[in-house]
Amino acid sequence: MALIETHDLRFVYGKGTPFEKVALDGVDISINEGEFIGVIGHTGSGKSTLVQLLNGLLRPESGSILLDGKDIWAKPKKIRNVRFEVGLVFQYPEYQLFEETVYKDIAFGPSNKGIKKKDELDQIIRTAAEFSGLKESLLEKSPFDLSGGEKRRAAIAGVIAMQPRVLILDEPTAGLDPKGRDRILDRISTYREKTGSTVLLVSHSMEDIARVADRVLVMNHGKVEMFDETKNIFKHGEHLAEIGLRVPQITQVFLELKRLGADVRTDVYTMDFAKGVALDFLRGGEKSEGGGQQ
Amino acid sequence: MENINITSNPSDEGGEIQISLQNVYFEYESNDDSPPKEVLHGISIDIRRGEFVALLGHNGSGKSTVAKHMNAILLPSGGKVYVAGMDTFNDSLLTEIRRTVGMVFQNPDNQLVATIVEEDVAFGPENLGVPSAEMRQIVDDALKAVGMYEYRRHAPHKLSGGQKQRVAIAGIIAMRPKCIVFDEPTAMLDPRGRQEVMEAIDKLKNELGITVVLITHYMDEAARADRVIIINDGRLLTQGKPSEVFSHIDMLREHHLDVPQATELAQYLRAAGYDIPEDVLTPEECAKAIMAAKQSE
Amino acid sequence: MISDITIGQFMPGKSFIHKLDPRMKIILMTAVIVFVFLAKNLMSMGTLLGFVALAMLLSRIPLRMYFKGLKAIWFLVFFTAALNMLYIKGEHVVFQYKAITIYEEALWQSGFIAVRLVMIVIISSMLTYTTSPTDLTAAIERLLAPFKLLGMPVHELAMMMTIALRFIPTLLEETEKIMNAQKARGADLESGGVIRRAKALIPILIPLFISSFRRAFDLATAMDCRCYTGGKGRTRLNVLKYRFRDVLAFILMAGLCAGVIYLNTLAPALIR
Repeated sequence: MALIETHDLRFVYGKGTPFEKVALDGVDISINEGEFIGVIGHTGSGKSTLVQLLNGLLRPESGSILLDGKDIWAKPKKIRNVRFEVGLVFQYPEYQLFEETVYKDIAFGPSNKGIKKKDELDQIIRTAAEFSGLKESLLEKSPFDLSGGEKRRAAIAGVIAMQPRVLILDEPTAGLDPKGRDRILDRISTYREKTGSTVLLVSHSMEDIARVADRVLVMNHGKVEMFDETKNIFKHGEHLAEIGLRVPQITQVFLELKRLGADVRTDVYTMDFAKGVALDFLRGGEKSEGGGQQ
Repeated sequence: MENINITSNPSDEGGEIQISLQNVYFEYESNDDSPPKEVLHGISIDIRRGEFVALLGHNGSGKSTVAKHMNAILLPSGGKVYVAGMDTFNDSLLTEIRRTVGMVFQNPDNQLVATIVEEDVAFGPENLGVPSAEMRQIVDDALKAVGMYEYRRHAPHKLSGGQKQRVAIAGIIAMRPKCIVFDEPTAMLDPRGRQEVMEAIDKLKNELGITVVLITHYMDEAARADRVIIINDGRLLTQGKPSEVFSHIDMLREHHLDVPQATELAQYLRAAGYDIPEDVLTPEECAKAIMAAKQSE
Repeated sequence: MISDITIGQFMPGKSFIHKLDPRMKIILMTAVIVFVFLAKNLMSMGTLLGFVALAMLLSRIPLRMYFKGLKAIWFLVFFTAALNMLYIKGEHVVFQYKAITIYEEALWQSGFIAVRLVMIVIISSMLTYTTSPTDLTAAIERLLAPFKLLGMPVHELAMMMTIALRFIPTLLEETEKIMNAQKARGADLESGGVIRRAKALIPILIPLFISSFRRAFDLATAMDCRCYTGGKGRTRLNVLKYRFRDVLAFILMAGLCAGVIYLNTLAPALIR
């Protein structure tokens, strides 16, 4: 059984006002335990609405969201519990920090969840901080004295500390420099490997998605455009470009080669794999099929 | 730190010097008793008229501090900065310096002042005391230059990030500057917004002849520049044409900068013995080079 | 969404009232409010009512928008009227029951007070419905200009008003984002008593303050970069200019005022 399923999900903003806008329509997806899903789509495609529906911050207009086979809105009064199961890290999450120390701020989520025992809470906080790559010495500092990248990771630790089964991150690398970005992506991958949690990563950066995701969900105009394994998604470079999305630069090289008349594969999205494919092309001229894993 | 030697320096040729940082030191004073923190350790940069210069470096490298010296938002604690020959220490020239070198920042929301787009664009000229009769034309021209004329009566908060940023650029253009410094103008934008802003910047340079200094983390944006300067730890690490600088893949990696994937692939194939030129920056160039190499085999 | 709330409720349009110079609008509307208090008999008040009704029609703002504005003060109007009716003494008794006596004078008086309140609300709504916040700010700055001589920071006040108007929607949006982020961390904003709810606001207010300071700092730098040095020597994109219609409106208004004063003398006052 899938961990999360949605059935004919529909959401409308400003219902009954002149500004009424259908944000999501007919979304049917199913996500298994332990998967790493990349979510892409341009601004207004409905991807942010979707993730807020998945953790019960928004209530669907119609259709349903099943977590472990149970409708999350079966008991509307208990919706808060869903938010501990499906942890959502918003865009620019550092703006949610408010406590005197990083330690206390990370404790906010788990305390709300009802974890009261001191040593249990302490254990959880330290583990979450470690997953996000925060040094012990930072925990007693004020969150406002941290660097930009550290603040971001402290905020992510605050959500990880709720020990959610699903972790959703909305543009976790937005506005960071390459170093900060690489650190966060590495940390998320490690977290997922060690805990076996399900992770959804919303991003504009195809390079980021290509690096980490098993499957990619492509949203367009409030509908699911594609939902497939990463390598299959990047085969459709032209189609992605048509709906206003960029493919990784390395994929663009091979799409361009093909346009110039070369007989090469175009489902290339990581650098190491690209090197092999390009060498094969220059050497033999035969379309490499073996190629190995990306 | 080893300084990689890149011979050609485009600033040696052509146009008059518009901004000149001469051996600039800068330190932040701290609130407590700890000693002041020095962030620039003697940096010299010349920007010439009509140039498009990209400033790269990771966060904390001092590149934003460098930018803030270019229009006297910050004053050096050692060394001198000249803007079109004007010493930034000279208080009486402050307005003239700031209208010569305009500045666009990262967060589009935090630089718009007025509640209507055209009034915001007029803010600079109003401060400069431009006669009301001439103002209308200046504002309209500035909005047209960034493609936001149809939005002149809109409220800024209803616009997209890319649109807000273009309004901010129009607000600077309206002061008729010779140079605009962009401090990570696309960092908070989605790909569409980034493209809009980069197109506007290209237009400034090509059609209005405005000198552009662009701070960015995106290598594809830096690749459009005439010259790339890499700043590390408050010092100038290296500078040169984008194709020259980006060919030093190991150096970029070492300083936590991205390498354009097309450049990396081209370099790899070149190292493997294929006839691929050194100055590949874009996917198109890379594909073309691979095709050429294939045909010459 | 809460970010859709706007201050002043400006409704763009091209009516005669919309096109009046905002300074003239403020002057005229202040005059009407003053004369609503000066009108003492049915003739003068009736003339004023007719004039305001005409202005309402001219403004092309749907009538229900005016009633919407009245809803908020409905209780106040009713309450003051009732109070006046019970307490004002006179000569002609209209109604008597046990200790309650209502005089004819009291009826007139409370009627007039109610009408005054309603008129104030209608007139100020008309001003905000037909004038953009920017125009309003500019007009206030211009009208208050003489007070600069007395050391009043008129330009600074107007600048503050503009920045506030510019940032209110941004900060409302930000509040919504922060609320959602804290809800996603399990914050419970909906249940509990007053104290618990007030406590639950801390995780929202602190980030909001910090972000406001950051914005203020950024904005100050951006304003420096755009050569802002205060009000001295500033020019304006949109210069306010009195036109023929403003003169016309002014003459009409002057006539009306004179009329009210004259009509007041024709019949005895119904209100003190």
